[in-house]
Amino acid sequence: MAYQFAKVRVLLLEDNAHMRKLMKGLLDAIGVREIVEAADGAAAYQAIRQTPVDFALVDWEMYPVSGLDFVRKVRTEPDSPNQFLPIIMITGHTERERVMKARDVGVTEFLAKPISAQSLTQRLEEIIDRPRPYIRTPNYFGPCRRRKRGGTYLGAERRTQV
Amino acid sequence: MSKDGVGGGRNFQIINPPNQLQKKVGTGGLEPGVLKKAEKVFDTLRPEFEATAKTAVEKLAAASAALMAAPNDIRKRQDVYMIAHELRGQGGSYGYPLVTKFGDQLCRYLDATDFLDAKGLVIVKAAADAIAVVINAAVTGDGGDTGRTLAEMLDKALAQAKSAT
Repeated sequence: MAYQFAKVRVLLLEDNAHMRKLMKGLLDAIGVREIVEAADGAAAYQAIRQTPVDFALVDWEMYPVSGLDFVRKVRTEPDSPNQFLPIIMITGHTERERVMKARDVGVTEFLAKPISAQSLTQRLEEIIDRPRPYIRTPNYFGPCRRRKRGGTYLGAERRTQV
Repeated sequence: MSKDGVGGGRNFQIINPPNQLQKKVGTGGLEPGVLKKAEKVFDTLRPEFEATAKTAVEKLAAASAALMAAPNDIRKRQDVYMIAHELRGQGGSYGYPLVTKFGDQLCRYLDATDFLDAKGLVIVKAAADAIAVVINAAVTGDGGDTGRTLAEMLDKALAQAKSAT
């Protein structure tokens, strides 16, 4: 039995009208029937407090509250409706330091623009079949950032920081 | 379910929340045919992209011209950046990888450059012009000879700016 998306509700946070139409078309093609739309991070946060969603597709750049700020609120605010919400960040910012910044606020997966049907479905498979554990430290809460499968983490031991 | 890592200098918690999404969606991967159906969405929306890209190209030309007049006006620079950023994010999805390439080169140059001098302005204009040619002449894919010429023009401007620093 393949995935069934008919009962899934998705948040689409995107301020660009064309990208929103594209993402809605792609979600429709895979079988998603219920999409909660928002055009800035504040509206998106309010929306998911009223209507729970199963995962979120979030663009980075928007005004006044960015997609990045939305992720930060979901992960850290005491009134967050779901701190474990799988969040896929759609971004044209593929520079390393920007990716690290988004990762450090708790993004679950990245979907680099320009997107394709395949890149989107691959990220969906990741959040459905290979969810990462969550890590809580004094400085971070979110999906585990040590994500390379089979690799050995060689970075600084941040989890020892108190 | 969670596991604490406290002691020995460690202070963290590993939490494995129930996989609510998989409970709803199930397992077994995508239904056959879903990927093809999703790919057709791009075909359907390509004319709309091409129309909005033409408008964006006009805006990029205007924003670039405004930047020429005030090279270190942060707002004017941001206008150029944001238009190029949107174009780089969409071009490749619709068969215009050169739009993504040139837009990316422009954004990365602006990211890495504090002050725009005359050579920097040449890069801004070269990138904006190259993107305009690609969109207005519907140069898809690698663009053949046209694509190569445009790429060389922009690469040369970038190399000259780099050698000057």
